[in-house]
Amino acid sequence: MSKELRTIDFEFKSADSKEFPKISFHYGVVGSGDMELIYQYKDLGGAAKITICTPVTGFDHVWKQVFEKFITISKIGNILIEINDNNATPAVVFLRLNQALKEALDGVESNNSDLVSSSFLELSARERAIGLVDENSFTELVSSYDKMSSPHLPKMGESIEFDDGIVTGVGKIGEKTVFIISQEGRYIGGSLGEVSGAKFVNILRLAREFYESMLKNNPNLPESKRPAILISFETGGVRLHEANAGLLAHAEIMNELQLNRGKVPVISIIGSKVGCFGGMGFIAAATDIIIMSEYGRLGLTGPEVIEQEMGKDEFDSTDRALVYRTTGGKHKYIVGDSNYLVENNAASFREALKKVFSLDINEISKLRRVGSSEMIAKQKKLVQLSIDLQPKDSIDVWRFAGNENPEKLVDLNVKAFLETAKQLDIK
Amino acid sequence: MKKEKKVWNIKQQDYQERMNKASKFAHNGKVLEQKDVVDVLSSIIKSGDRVNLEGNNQKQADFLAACLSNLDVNKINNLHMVQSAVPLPIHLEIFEKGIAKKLDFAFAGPMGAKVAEFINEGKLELGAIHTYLELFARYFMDLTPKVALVCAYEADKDGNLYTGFNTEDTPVIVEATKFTQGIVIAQANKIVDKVQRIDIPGEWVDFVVESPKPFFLEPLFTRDPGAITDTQILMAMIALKGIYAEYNVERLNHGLGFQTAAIELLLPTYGEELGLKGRICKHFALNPHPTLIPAIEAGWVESIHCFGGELGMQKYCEARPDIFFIGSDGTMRSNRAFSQTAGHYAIDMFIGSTLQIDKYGNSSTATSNRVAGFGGAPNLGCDAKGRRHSTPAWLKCGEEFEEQGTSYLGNVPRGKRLVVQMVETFQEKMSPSFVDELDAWKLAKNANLSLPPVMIYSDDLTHIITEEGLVYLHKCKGLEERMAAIQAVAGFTEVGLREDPKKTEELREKGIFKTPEDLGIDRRRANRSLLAASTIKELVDWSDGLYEPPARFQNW
Repeated sequence: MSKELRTIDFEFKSADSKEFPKISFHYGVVGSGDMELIYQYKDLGGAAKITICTPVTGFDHVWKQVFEKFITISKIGNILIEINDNNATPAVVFLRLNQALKEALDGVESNNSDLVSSSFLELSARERAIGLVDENSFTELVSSYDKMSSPHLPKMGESIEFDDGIVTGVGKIGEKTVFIISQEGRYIGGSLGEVSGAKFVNILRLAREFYESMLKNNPNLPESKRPAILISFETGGVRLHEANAGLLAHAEIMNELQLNRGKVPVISIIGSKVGCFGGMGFIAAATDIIIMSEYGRLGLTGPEVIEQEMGKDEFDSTDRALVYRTTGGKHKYIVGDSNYLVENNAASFREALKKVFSLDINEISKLRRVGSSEMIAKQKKLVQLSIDLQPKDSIDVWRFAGNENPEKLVDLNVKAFLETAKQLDIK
Repeated sequence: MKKEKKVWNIKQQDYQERMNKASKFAHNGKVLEQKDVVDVLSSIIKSGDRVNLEGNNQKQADFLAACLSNLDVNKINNLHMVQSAVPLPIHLEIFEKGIAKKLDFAFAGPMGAKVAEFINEGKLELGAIHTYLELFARYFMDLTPKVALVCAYEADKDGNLYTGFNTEDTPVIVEATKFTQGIVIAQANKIVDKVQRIDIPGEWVDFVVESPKPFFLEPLFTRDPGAITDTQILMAMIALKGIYAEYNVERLNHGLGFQTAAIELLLPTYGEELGLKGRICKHFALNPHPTLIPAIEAGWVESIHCFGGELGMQKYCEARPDIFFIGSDGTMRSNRAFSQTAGHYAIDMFIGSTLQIDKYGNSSTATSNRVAGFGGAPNLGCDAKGRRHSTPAWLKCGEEFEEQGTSYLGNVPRGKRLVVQMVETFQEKMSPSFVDELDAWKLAKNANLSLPPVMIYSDDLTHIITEEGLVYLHKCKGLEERMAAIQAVAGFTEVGLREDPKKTEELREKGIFKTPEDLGIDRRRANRSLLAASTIKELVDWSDGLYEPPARFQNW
């Protein structure tokens, strides 16, 4: 039985309350067992007003106790607290409330250098968007504060997120204006629904219109000023709860990719936990450039579905090493699906981006996988090869590509791998 | 008084009689063919015999278990199984078929629900649930096996066994069986000309057989750093600052949960920052936890003795002979009996996790319909009353122990083991960790147990850590203060909601309850960037490629 998502409201006032600063502050991700919140100043005569949107029933008294304690200890007042919850335990709620309050009061230290050097795999969608562009250059468009969340999920009792699981915005890398789309895998597997789909499509459109108006003002626009689009994928594809809208969005994205061709290069960044699967795998394949880390995964049908349809002999989805080996960055690099393989941090992705940005648009379009009759002929040869070779494992393909000890490549670090590995050469 | 006229070697005669029937199956010394094993077992086992089927925490004599289950129940039945663990379906099948009737054991793990069901249906008569060490003790007292079915990596035709990395319980079982004229059969992954090291001498083994496939081994102690949460990191910070640093805990055991994995991964980062290197975590009684690799590599650890091995850690352990216990052949040897002894007498602290803690501080992992058993935790998570040597951590805890002075000791000082439970106040599916009454009581009723199975008794427990903070229970005076302290860390559970804020304040002033802020911990820093390794791959990198994680843990 599915229940509708519900909202709970509380109001508390601490005797000697401290006023919340006149800001809005967003914190957290609506992952499973987790939550997000927005703190906002509001003149409530010293009180704190709390609204929780949650699928959980039967714990209202516990929520009340959690907030009573939080307000009593922190004494915070004149504050509006809005929460989207996805089965967070009281302990997690209390921790997030406190972590967020400390950051809101102390101000977040500008830690771009931390974001750039830390594990890309661990970064949230927003952190990736911020970390991929130059420090302090990111501006989010249709952000959490705009609260454009899914209109469909509440009826199904599914948690919502203020940004619908996708971060969109614009930033700078050197002289270049870059438009960014970044998906959040912790929120419903990074799936694409109606709102997240619309945000995705419109950033692509915005980038194109931006370029067209730049060109209008300056017909001799230098290559270095040509804008670019980055998509940091972390998704299993269509959100099944709103599948029609999600599929439609996929079609609209494909259309926008075509319209952007030869104008604004679209670059895929794949190095997050969920990988890039389902319909989004098609989208990534249709972009100009793909950059992956060794933890990135790219594919169409998910491993479980392949096993279900074709049997365990075809693909054992419980063999994690096999799954990663056949969908992971190293394999995609060897077979040419991925143009660059980089280390697991934003700095390395940025280095690869700078290499891409040194190319002109014609050179970039040569790096595509599809889009010309030669490229399609090459893809057909790849299909024929897989029929002839009947590989049981990606390692069989690596051997065919001329790698003498393909098993050894699995554990090599990225630098040693790039020095050693031979890519598949299909003319 | 008259001296009894008696035959004194009935057991030897019985042994000969049984062996006479079975020895014809052996060829090439003591080697059996796989197809003959059921016949051999039929020849040497009699109804009602006490049989030990090696089922450890990790390695399982699974081939011999399958053979045992194929005996003719009309000829052989009512066996009394004495074995450490019954974690495989085949272990229960032997009872289902009626071949075995009674069970004395220590750990059921995934078969806990089946064990409870079988007790209820009368298919299984329970002797007792033990701790490992307690069960081993009874092997030498009143539960000596008549037949032991054990497992090894290698065996030769003379019966010599190499049990190596996963020696675990084999020496204890074989010694208890063989020296009371019992019969020992070993399954080995490989029959070889010469075993690479003699872990069990051939004279103690009657038959060996090469198993159709290598014995089943469970990676019980591998925790993926990728799954460690911010809350667990906060609790690990509390543990390091409030306990490890305060008591200078040098010798210890870690439980197998994510909380202790977080502590291990915080040693080279947060621990280093607190200046604790060289002061804490020098000696462990511990399975080779992959999450301990960064701390070992960063030079924290001096020695580790292992209960058993861990899948994928063999090469790493062998390459660190200064740390692990390594034979002259260069491979590690674990030994559960010795490691449990070390864990009982020679550690200053046990720290682990549990499912439920009651309002008095008793804890249990039992649920109302699962007889999970104890394993080794109670021997580690208790104050060893026979301990006489002292260490600073042990002495300090004893000095702080409020009830010590009011006991029968008068003015005589005594130390105390630090026994720490780390739990989040709510576990999966919002089930509370703090309860009025342990589910163990319901289980005792459902499964006809004489006692509710308690993992760690309250009088042994010295500290509880939750995301709310840390309580020093041994500093409490009387049960009422102790219960107030438990309420203070019990968060928003029913037990926690009974908290009296005034009392909690008093406990804070007395230093019995400390919040993260009291300990000077910045909650914002409680995030995954503080982990020395945040993926399995990073553990492999720390180990210079020596750690070989099982496929199910690989994401590259």
